[in-house]
Amino acid sequence: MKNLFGDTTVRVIAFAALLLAFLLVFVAIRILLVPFVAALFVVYLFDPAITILRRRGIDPSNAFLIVLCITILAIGGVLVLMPASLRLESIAESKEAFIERFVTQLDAVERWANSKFPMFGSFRLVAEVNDKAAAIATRFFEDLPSWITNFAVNLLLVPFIAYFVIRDGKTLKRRLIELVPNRYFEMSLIMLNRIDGQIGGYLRGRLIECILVGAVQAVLMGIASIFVPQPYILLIAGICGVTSIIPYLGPLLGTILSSVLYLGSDLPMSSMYGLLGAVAAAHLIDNVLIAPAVLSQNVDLHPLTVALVLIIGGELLGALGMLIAIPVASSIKVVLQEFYANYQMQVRT
Amino acid sequence: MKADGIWANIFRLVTRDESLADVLQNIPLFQALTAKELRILERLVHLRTYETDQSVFLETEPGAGIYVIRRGRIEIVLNHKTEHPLTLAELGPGDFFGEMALLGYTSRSATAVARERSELIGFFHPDLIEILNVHPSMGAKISLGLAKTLAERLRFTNSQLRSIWEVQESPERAYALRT
Repeated sequence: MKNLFGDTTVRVIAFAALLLAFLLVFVAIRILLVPFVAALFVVYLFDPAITILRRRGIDPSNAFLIVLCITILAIGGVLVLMPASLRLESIAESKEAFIERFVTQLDAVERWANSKFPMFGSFRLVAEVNDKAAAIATRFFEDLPSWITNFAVNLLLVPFIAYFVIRDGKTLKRRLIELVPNRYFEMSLIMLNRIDGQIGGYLRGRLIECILVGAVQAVLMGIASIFVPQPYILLIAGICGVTSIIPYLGPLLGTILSSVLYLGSDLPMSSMYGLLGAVAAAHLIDNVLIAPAVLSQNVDLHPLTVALVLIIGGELLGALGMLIAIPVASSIKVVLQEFYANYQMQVRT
Repeated sequence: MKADGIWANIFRLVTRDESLADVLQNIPLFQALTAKELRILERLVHLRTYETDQSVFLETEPGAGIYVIRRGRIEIVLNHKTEHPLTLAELGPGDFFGEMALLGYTSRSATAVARERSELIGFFHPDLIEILNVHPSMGAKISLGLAKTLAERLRFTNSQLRSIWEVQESPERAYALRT
């Protein structure tokens, strides 16, 4: 019997259909990139818990729903039980006073910097902030409705996408592997598995690092509070923990946000020094103890490469780009390593 | 016309019938598995088709797992691309090869070539790790089977080495023992 799929016409049609499918997937990915990446984060983070439930004979999709419910209940519980002082309500209630205090404190910093470092010319922090604040505020309030809508849509989409990735991800991976020609089959299998392991390990390592950085920050601010007033300990620890997910830039971002919070509050400058000391010490502990312990096995990238991919990621996709830059770079590294090893083997034989 | 490369795999009609479990349960690695566990294994393995003279893997290439022959004939060859290739074994349906790579991504010690159109069942290291994570008792059975198989092969290699050593040390005695 003649092979039906051996005809050139059928092959061309199949190729065109494949191309169209790739194009559609690309367009869909452009639209769904943020929720899709967030869903992948959720999948990788939930994976150990899902594996534990699967050991008890629970279906992966049902296990995901159980873990999701527990997570939502835990977050909801924390938000309900959290004291009002940690929810920034005190600042929202008196935002004019907050801005006024912030400008006054910034003015003090500016005067101090000008008196200590006259050789750098005069700092014009307050003028710069006042100039930019109006533009930023206008843009912020213009963009706010679309941000809220996007956030709400993404919040619904993320668990939805994650559910299907958990349910069908492995089958999809197997189908993709089945398409690979025999010559590259094992290489692709090894490559995919190594990428999977690296991304999963990196994301889980980062999450552990975030939690530990937050905890260390809270403890250090607690110690600092013995000597100087240190309010919003849990809030700042949370900010520093979350921002530390972005290497190098994250701690800086956390420090800036925490500093703005302190400058706007009715606190003496000594509190600011206490905060900066605690942030610096937490960053040091993170670099010396936490990061080498939780991340060294996962991603083997040179610090210069990390800095470079962060800049490229930030330029291309903003904050999201910085977040996914390292997993993407490490995946590319694995692919290149496998191809190079294969090439070398072919040269030798 | 011979379909090859990606086309052969896109349009291949994958028939995962019950006989897949039948083939697997005769392999020493999977002999201790229950019917339910064999069904789980069936969903994890990869079915691949190789044309005549197509290589399954090459010597020194990184390997990821074991192949069980469902249909066809596979030749295990040393120095495949040289003028003097050495055929180590010729395997048929129900035989398996490449089990060392199941323990980790190690280099293949020989080349495997299909001598006729062959259908192979591949079981790989990531699949074994997943089984060990999700179904630990099933994973233990497979690991024990793998250990037994490797021990058997080691015992066979040892006896061959002993024969070689005896021939080298005392050819007369070895001859007398043999006769």
